[in-house]
Amino acid sequence: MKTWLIHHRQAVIATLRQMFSTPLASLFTLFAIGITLSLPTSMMVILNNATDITATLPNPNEISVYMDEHSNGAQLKRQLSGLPNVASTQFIPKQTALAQIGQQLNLGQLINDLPKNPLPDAWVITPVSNDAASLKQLVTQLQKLPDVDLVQADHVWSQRLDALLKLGRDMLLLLAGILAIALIAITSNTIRLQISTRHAEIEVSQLIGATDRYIRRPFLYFGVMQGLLGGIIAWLIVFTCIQLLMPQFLALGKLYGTDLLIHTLTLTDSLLLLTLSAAMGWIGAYFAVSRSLANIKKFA
Amino acid sequence: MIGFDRVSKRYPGGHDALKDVTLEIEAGEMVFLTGHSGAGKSTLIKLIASIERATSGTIYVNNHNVTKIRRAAIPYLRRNMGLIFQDHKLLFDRNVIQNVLLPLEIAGFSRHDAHARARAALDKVGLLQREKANPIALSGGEQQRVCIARAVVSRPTLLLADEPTGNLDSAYAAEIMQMFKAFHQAGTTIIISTHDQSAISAGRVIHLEHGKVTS
Repeated sequence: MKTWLIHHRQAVIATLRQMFSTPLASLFTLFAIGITLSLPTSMMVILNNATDITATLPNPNEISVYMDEHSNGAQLKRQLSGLPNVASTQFIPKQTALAQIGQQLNLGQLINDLPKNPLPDAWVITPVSNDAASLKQLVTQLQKLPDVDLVQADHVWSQRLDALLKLGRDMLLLLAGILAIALIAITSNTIRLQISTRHAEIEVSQLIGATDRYIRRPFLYFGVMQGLLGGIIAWLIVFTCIQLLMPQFLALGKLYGTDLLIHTLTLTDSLLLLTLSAAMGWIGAYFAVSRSLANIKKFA
Repeated sequence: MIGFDRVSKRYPGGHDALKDVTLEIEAGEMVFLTGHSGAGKSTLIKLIASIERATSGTIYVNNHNVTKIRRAAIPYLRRNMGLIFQDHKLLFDRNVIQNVLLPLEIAGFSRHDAHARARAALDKVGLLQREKANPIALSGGEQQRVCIARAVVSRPTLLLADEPTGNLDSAYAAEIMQMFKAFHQAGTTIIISTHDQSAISAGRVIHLEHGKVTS
């Protein structure tokens, strides 16, 4: 246990010394990693926001049924409730609808000056089941009812939005995968350069009884440290961008009467970013060292 | 301590470095390997340290069959032996004492113990006052002494030296040989390869010619 601690301490010190011995090169590598990582991270933030915003929207599967002018107010209630797949119904008389619009659009007296209410009576139906097939069936049934002018099902655009979000999520995963490979390659390359400059040390260490694990350890530490620092830089980049764009988002959100940027970098996001970046660094380093150890095998 | 049983070594390309070598070296012996360059002296030492593997035959070191040793076990075998090279293989990116500390760091000694031991080893080879110097600033003889200090610092039971005086003039060489004699008297088994007959003072001589033991 004591030996283990001593070895790890040695490895950490060696790693830091190595990084500070070439500060400029280390910094450039760290920035390359940081910028690479900031791309999927900012995409993740955008997607999280999009998801959050859609969640605050009214139930997208509600179906609006607009009546024609001959309809007689609440008469339809029993027929609607009789349909399968209807959970609840709400009647919105045209007077209420007009008053609501007047309020929302701040039209004031203008509403009262209209010669005739242009809006129809409407029903809002909340379905029991939200799957596409039963919704479609319900829409057809509603259209056949007497005095129904128009059936508007919001589920179409909600499905489109869901599909878009899913596409975004898949693209994020793909991009993250590609960039993870890039990150492994970057780390592997810097470690390979280091190994070539420390070739003599590795050879001598092997000759005086160093295990592969001992030789690998400082390089693995370097990979993890480099990945972690790169992750921190990525975090700072995304955080700075969010802070810079925040006022604009708030202003834009105010215009739409909603919060556009609800979801910034959470603790979970940040930990995920740092863990993954450190893991990629470790993998890259392991790759590079294992390949080199296999090459220097003539001393073993 | 060391046994060779009909050992042959053929390098890739077909060169036979050792042919059918059988020998026995007891613990506490001081052995000189002699012969022309290319006679197989270095190969014999490399086989003992598992730097090379025998093509056929069996080699025992400390009652372990090293011809069948797993790669992962080799480091632990090497920690029981001190290796001294003609080109001394010192690391020039660190000072003398750090070079001597390396085997102790690998073995996991605490900093305090390691420094005490490294200074004792440097004292034995007469370089304690140069501990902070970079090895590149030392003379050839001094560099070889640092290499010896690094080999003995973990107090191995076996010292293997491949042409330790090959690059040195005779005064330095005699000095180095004197040191080996002192370690031998302290009980260490020592195997030294040399093409320089005059360097041999006491101890047993194994003469190699074209990969075969002739005496």
